[in-house]
Amino acid sequence: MSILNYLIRRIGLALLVILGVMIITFFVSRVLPADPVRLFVGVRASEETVEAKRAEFGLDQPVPVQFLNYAGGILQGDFGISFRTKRPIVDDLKIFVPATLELVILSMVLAIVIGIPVGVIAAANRGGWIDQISRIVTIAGVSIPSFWLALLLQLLFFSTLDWLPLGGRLSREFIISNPIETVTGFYVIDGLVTGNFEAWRNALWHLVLPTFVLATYPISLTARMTRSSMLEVMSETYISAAQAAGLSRREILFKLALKNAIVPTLTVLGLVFAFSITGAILVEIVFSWPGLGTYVTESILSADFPVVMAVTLIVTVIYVAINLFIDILQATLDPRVRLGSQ
Amino acid sequence: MSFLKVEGLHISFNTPHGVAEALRGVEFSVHEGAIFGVVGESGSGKSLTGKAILDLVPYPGRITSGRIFFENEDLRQKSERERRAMRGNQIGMIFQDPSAALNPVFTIEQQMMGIMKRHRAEAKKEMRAKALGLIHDVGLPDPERVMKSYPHELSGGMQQRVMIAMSLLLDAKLLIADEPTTALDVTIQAQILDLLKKLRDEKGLTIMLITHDMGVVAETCDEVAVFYAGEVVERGNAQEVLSNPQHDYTRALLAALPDGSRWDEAGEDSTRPLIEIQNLTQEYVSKSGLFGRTQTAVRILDQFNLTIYEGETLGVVGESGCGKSTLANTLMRLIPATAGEIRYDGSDILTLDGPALRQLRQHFQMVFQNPFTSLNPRMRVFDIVAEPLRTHRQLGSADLKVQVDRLIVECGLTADYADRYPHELSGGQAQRVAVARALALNPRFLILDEPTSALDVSVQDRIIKLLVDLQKKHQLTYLFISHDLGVVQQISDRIAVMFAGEIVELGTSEAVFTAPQHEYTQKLLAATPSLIRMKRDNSL
Amino acid sequence: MKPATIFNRWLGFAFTRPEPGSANWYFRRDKLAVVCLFAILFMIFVALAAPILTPYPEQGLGDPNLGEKFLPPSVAHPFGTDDLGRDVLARVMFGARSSLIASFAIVSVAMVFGSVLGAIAGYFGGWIDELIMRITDIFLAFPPLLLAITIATVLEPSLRNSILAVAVTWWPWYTRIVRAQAVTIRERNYVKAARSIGVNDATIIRRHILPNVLGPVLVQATLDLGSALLTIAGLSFLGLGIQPPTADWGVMVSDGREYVQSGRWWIGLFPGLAIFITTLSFNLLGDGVQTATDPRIRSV
Repeated sequence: MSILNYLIRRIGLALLVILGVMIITFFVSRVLPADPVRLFVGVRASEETVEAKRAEFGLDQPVPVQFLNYAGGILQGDFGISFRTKRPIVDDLKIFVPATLELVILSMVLAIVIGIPVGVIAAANRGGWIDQISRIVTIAGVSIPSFWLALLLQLLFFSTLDWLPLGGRLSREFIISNPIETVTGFYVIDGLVTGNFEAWRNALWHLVLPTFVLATYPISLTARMTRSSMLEVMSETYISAAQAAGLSRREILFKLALKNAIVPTLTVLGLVFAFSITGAILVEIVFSWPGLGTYVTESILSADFPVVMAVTLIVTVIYVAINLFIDILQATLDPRVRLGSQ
Repeated sequence: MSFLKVEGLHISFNTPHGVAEALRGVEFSVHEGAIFGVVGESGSGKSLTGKAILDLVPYPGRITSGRIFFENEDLRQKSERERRAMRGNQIGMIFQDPSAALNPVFTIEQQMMGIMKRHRAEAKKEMRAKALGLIHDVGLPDPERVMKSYPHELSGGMQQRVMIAMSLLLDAKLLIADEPTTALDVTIQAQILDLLKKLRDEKGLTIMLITHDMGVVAETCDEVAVFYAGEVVERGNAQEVLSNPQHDYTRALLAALPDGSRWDEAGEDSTRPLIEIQNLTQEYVSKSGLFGRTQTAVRILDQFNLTIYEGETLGVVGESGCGKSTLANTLMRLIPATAGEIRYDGSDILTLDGPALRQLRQHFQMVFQNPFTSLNPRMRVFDIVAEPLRTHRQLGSADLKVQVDRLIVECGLTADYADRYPHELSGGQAQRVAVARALALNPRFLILDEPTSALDVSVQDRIIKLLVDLQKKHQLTYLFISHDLGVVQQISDRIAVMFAGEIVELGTSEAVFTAPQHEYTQKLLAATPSLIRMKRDNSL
Repeated sequence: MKPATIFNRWLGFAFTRPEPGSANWYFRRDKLAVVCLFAILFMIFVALAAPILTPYPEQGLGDPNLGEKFLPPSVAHPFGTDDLGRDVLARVMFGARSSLIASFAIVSVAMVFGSVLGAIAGYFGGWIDELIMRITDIFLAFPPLLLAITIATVLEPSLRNSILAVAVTWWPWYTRIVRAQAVTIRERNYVKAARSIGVNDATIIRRHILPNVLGPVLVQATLDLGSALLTIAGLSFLGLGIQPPTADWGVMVSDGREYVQSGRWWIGLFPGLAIFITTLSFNLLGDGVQTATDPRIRSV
């Protein structure tokens, strides 16, 4: 199969998956709850108000029509109205998505920059002390609850040592007197672009703990997966053949085996995103980070289903897009992926 | 002075059961320019010896003692750096399965240039020219295209040629070829062996050819060492060892080889057809292009006709992809046919279903190539043999036990094997269990799909003997499928030679073997390394 | 097989000398994994015997004791007391119940459901395979915790519903593993032999496919216990799991968050430590089992 055919097929599948995801979120938000309208207007509202609102939201129509309205709205960027804030959800998302992505992207970068080399080195020293230590540390890394780690670090670096801020994206004095102007929504970029270096430094300072906590799981996971795919590759005959041809261990490890092992390891990056974004939900609460996680948790507490569904949907679409990108990357790296794509 | 000399080589493996000696004082020497055969069964230590020369003994094994001299230098005294410089430059190696030995994510060019860059400081252009030349030398057409290919885009034979070219990139003087043709078809095997001989003659290459096949040794080697349980039990000039073996094990190996004689005298010619295959066509539709819109039909069997007579053994010979397995699967109703009929007992079995199909399943049974993949590793021998009885007969547990025990004993095992799991059996024992399962329902027709090719030579003839005895006792009809003319000839009354989905030659075993008519049969016969031919050639 | 036979086998597995070279033999050489196995058994014991082990069983079950609020760790209260004056150690012991039940329940439900679907998809192939795997793809398209949060949000918060919410997001992983295995096993000759004998499809799946995928599936299940515990703790932390006054580790860490600024560290520290140690034990155990059963990665 040519790469173009592979691409088209893969994109088609991704669209199918997004359709399925929309069906599920629709089902969960409109069909599972007993009466979403009652939730919106409150318990004390009269029957007439309920029916009026039901008609306004189109919830009195047959379920398939409701779904078409829902899907049509989403395609136009309309995620509905929040029960809690009564604002269009899409306006809230514009504020919260960049805040969360700032954390998630940093955590993914750390996972790649630290996780992959650690995995390769552990595999190269299989059974040695570096391998043993990295095994324990990385397993601990995937075992520690992020919200608890966040709590511990707050206790240490804020309560005890007072080195780092407790939470938030920016200290209060900056928010009041010298806020970072929004250009992209990413403070790390906006602070530099607008030349507001003091606030920028303050923003970086606030990023340290949340990023570290969020990156713990992804780094450990990447290191473990890299190690095991490296070991698998190292047991292949073509590695023996390369040795027989006189290639050195370093060349085999870093030039040959890494390219073979990177293909399965890339799959991990999709997972790393998934774990970062869901980890962010928990971590943001602890650090009062004004992102999707805080937004969604507040919505959960007030049973604000449309918001929860909208966030689920948007995060999932990003996830599907990332996986699509990874698959295409794998297909360009490994000619066999294109062939055995079914 | 010898070119390569191995003295007292010991290799041990750490195993859960303690230290196991895999090589126990191996000794041999190889002359420059010779093709040196290393022959033995699986686990005899022959591959390990090859790897030890390159210092590539796999984990958790290690060389405990011994010396390896290459051009009078002790390799084990050299530093890791010096040894690495020898690999490829002095000694090259090729492996059994070329598709596994080539790195799937690099093109041939990338792999070849990677090897040369390591050792040579030549200009890129010169290196490339050399690679192209070698690809041409190993007999591959269109070297430019081969260079740009990924390994999976080449056939098995082409991959092995590429491996050979790669191992010669740095002008190695010694080539260690570890079962280089085992994964290939016989005609391809013959071509690769010819190529090795040609390289020896033209480039003065010394070759250490590791194989389990005495036929290959007879065909190719000047000198030979016979390995058994980690030791060299016999070595010397290949002709002498083969014609006048000294050691019992060598004699047993040679005796087990097909030598043109038959196991059983031909039965009287049966004339009652049991199965008639008429115009059987099997198409495989390969979908390609966007959403599989481009469909190409590949005909695996094309208007295939064959009559199988009651009580006979019909041998079917052909190389991989000739359609012989498809034929077996269609007869067993494991896959549907595209068109045609298979008549048995007056009805077309391809249209049977329900109770009639269940009835047919009792009459047709099959024995597969590798007994370890045909026995469920999670079931005891008893349950394996009982499965057909449980499916078709309502027996009480006592009756069932009697039946199963009888079958196991009939196939040459004792009743206490019933409690074992497949991994507790040897290859030969496992194949006996598979035969017992096939006999459980008193079938009339058995398909034997390469029933001996996964077994060591010394076990093969015992399984053949069992099959011959059972055939007499139960008046069975056999369809014996194999890629090896020699084996088929031992047991068959008639032989059908298949090529590209058609029968190109059909005749009595004697006729096909001694006076092949079709060009392909002649080619196949010529490519089959065998002692018969060696003996015949010698006597002429 | 009778339950008694299975029990005897397990006893035999645990107490006889393993045959050298068996997975059991390799496993026992991994001392860390064996220690973790005992740690988990200890946790199970604590969860079961909590009412006997603690002097404050009523507090463990949720009764407030307002006279002893916010006491730091001491001999009487090794883990201190919480905002309602309850003994944190007793709460941690009782909290082990929901965490352990949840992780085993999630993995079992997901494993059984996912494996059966995977075996069906892999064995039959064709449109059945296509259908099952596309549904699986859709479920896998959600980041794991997110869908669980979504489902748990609309359901009444309770232990059962949070288990359900996580299991719904978990089964596709098993479907994938089992399908991949089943596709290769379907081509094995013993399946062909069974088909040529005339054994029906359901029996082939039950007798030939499922027993042969059991190994990798159980290894995966052991590896998953830790993640399941973390996920369920995360849901509880968000208030989507078991509800107060029943003790739960995730809820307790969430409570402890409020007291970081006032320096009452013990309220959140100990329940979180319990989550960490239990998850770590599950993960090290899983890693040990995986290594012991995979010839490619274990060392002699």
